[in-house]
Amino acid sequence: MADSHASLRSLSDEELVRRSAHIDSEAFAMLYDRHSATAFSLARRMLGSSGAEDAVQEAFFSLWRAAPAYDAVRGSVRLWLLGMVRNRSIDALRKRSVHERQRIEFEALEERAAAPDGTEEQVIAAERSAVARAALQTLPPEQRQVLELAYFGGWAQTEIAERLGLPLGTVKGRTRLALEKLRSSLDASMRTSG
Amino acid sequence: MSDGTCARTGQAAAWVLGTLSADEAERFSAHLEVCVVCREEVVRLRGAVDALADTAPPAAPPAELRERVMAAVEEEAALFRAADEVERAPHPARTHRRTRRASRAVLGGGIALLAVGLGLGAAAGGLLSSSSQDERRGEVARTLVGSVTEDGGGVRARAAVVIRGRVAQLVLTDLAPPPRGRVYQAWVLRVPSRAEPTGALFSVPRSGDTRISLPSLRGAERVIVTAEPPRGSRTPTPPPRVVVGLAR
Repeated sequence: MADSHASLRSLSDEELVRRSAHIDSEAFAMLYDRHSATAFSLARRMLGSSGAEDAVQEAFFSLWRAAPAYDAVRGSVRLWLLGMVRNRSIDALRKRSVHERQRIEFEALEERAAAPDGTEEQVIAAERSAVARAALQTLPPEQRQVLELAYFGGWAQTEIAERLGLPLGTVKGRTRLALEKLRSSLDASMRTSG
Repeated sequence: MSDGTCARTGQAAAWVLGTLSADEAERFSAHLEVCVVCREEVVRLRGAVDALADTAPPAAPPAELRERVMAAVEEEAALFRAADEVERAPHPARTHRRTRRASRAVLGGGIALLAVGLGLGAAAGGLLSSSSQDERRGEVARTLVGSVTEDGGGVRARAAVVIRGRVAQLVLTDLAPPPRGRVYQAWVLRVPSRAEPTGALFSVPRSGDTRISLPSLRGAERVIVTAEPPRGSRTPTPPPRVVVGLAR
């Protein structure tokens, strides 16, 4: 009844979620293997060395339980999962002091990516990371800062404005421009590599 | 909006990043239902947000994390497979071997474990004894998993209708409490336009886990739960927080 690892590998995320909804734990294990490296990297970037494992564990278990409710119209499985990781991480961040949150951001600036010597999925995740980081570097520093505070720091726009001493409208504008430019850079890199 | 622009498109970036205030996010979500321009902008920007996750410095998850996640998943999968096995058993007299196996893997603790797996804790003993009686009567169990809205606890919460013979129960775990001054009311929908109150008015304990006995589900299409005034309502007033489809 159970599919081999190789045949599961050929299935789309959507099909793996559909099978997970029918209590196929091997299909779910494939989803874990496919996305855990990115999920863990995201949680670790947001939370530092403490709490990342819990956030990822909770997010994957939520994905398992919520699999029957997956709706492709609302976005990809990966986006759904990473949204769960981010929500769990933001919940954990909000229990921490502002000082602690700022320390994590400082550490993240200091941290340099080291290509993990791991599974094929982890190597693919590292390659995707290199492309995405290159695209992020094309943003003006002030746009990048707003984007990183929002996405990784989990700060609301009003909090970012207060923290940076900027008008709220400026933060909104920079956020929008940053995402637009990131989208364009990614499109350009895909055209180049394609 | 008719010329392909919308004054609120600028909010799409903050919305996909999740940095709008709760009120703003709710208003923009409602706007998305009616504005194709903003919907397209959201879809376009999702790709950029998706890529943001990849900009995190790569870090390999520890092997123990996979073991923990899969152990929890396998445990719950085993419970649901066990429930399915009981459901598939066509007749106790013809499936003696299966029933004996089930009594070890399923009924001797499986349904009780299902209760524990669903976070029911103290309720497990009651389910264990009733499932043992079910086994003697040769009754089978069906578990129908439903969905819970964000207000009701979202993906953290879980809802299922467990049917054994003529007895049906709504099992809820991690359900968010009803709004202040409201209670939860369970309904059975037999035809799409008619909701029949079950008489079940309930709140949830601190754990968020509870079980509700349901009336006969013959001809029913779904079971829903809404948050109603303290004495309940004759028809559902707000949108449901829990929906369990029965036509499977």
